[in-house]
Amino acid sequence: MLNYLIKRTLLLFPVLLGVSIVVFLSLRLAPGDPARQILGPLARPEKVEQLRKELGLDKPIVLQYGIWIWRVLHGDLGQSIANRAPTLLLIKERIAKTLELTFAAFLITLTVSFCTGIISAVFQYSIFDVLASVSALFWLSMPSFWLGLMFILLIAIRIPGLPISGWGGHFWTWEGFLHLILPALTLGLPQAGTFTRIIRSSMLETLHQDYIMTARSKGLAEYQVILKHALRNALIPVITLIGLQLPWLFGGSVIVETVYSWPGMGRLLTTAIFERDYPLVQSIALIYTLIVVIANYSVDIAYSVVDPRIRVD
Amino acid sequence: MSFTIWKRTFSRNRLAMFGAVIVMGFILLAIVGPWIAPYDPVKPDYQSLLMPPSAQHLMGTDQLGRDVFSRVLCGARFAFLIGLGVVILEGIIGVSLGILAGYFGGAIDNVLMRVVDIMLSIPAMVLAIVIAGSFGGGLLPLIITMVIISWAHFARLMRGQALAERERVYIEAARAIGASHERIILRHVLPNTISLAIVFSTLEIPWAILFSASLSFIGVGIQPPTPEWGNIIASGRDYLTTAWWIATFPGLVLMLVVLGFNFLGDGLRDALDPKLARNR
Repeated sequence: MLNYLIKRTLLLFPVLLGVSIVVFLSLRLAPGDPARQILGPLARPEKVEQLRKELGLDKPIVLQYGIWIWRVLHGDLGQSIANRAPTLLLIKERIAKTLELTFAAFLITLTVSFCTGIISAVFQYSIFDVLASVSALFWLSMPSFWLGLMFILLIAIRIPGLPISGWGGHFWTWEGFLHLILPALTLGLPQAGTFTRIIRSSMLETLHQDYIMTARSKGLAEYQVILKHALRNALIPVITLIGLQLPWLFGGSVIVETVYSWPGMGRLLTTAIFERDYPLVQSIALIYTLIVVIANYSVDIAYSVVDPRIRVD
Repeated sequence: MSFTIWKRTFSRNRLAMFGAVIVMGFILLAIVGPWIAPYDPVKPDYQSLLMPPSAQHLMGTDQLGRDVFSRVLCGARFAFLIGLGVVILEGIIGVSLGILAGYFGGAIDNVLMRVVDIMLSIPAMVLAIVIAGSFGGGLLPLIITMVIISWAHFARLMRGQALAERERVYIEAARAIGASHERIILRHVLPNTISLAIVFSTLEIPWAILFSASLSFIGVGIQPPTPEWGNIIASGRDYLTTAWWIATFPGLVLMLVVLGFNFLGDGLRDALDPKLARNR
């Protein structure tokens, strides 16, 4: 176990190095001078030259990366151009709201998909199963930005007291909770489609194993067989899927935040990209990626606890 | 499995046939859409602003008086071009890199798989917004962006396939009689693994369509006034309460197309892989 922990932890470093390089390069792919893009075509050349110096764009790209990563490691993510404030400060104000939204959405995803997936598998080919399988496909085909608009149009506008957009306070307050419901459903339900399918097929596979028959033949109650013997083993591919879906969850939150004007990091990212506030864009992308990498790391550790076989490889 | 059995499994799956019909309808619309559109999709008509759906304007008109139905019809071509273009390009890159890594193994495999891990651990939507946003929008930047974030999907899939194929006895036999690596890859590994890549494509195309529409909705993809489903929906967002039809209909069409591809892809996978089909 300790061996696996150390190995997995050491593996973090090349991944962190890699993602930081990709994040750094992602803003340099577009042709043209970033300083010129920030200031616009009408800016005077001296101004552009000054900004180039300020952002360190006059140095070779490898050195630029080195300086950037050195500062990041010391907790300095740079200054936002549009807001004239440290980017880390701006992100700090937003990060909790993004996490609040994604956690709530993920909770919805798991609750819905576990209930439907397990019932579907236990009553395979029943009406419930057929309907659940079709609607899982239906939900995962849903454009989340459109779903959000439809929720506003069909639900939020019709129910007095239900807010249309924005953040209303922490989720444990009534106002905050009301503001959270629709964005969380918009983000969580399409994901539930994917999860339901995996949970169903994984449950079906374990339900056909011999040890399930053994459990039944020794007279265990059906709920014990399903929840204790089948579900625990069926969880393994689900945990893999969680790791794979985390980047999608956070990516999807950017869209949902835009639809509901949710003041999280995603909203900050989209405004920053239109203002060409590149230091801020770079910092946000880095923070998003760090969250996902660390979350993935935790999922892998959890995985090794659930499934001892993993530690051996 | 013989083709007749394959076909029978496939047509027995009604949902897959339903999906196939939607997909064929979509492809047809992508080809003839702009010609059969009853109105100009771009030219404003200030005589008919924000008109609700009627016999003249099946899906109503938008804030500039343009016929939403015509715009949706023309948008089909973009969705199709992006979906197909992205999947072909990412397929070529991903399949070749994946097969090379899986077949040769060793250092190439190690390096490539680490890069794939890195690409898959960055939230694709965030990376795409950054790249497409710094390009400033447009069809070509959008396609480039989507290929950059998605080639790893194919690479990972094909690497696993090539790895398994390499261990087969006939590959060893081919090596023994002196076939070159190039010949083995092109004549044996590729033909034996490509069917999976094709099935995967039918699930990757709807992803590309959905993803690109999301980017256009955010405003970093295809820019208005060009009719693209994502940006039509974005323009309807400001008129949600007064003119619900602008955002509703393009989204409905988008969802239907994605659903069609997913039904089709599911059916194809069941038909090609009976092991998977048993459980579904």
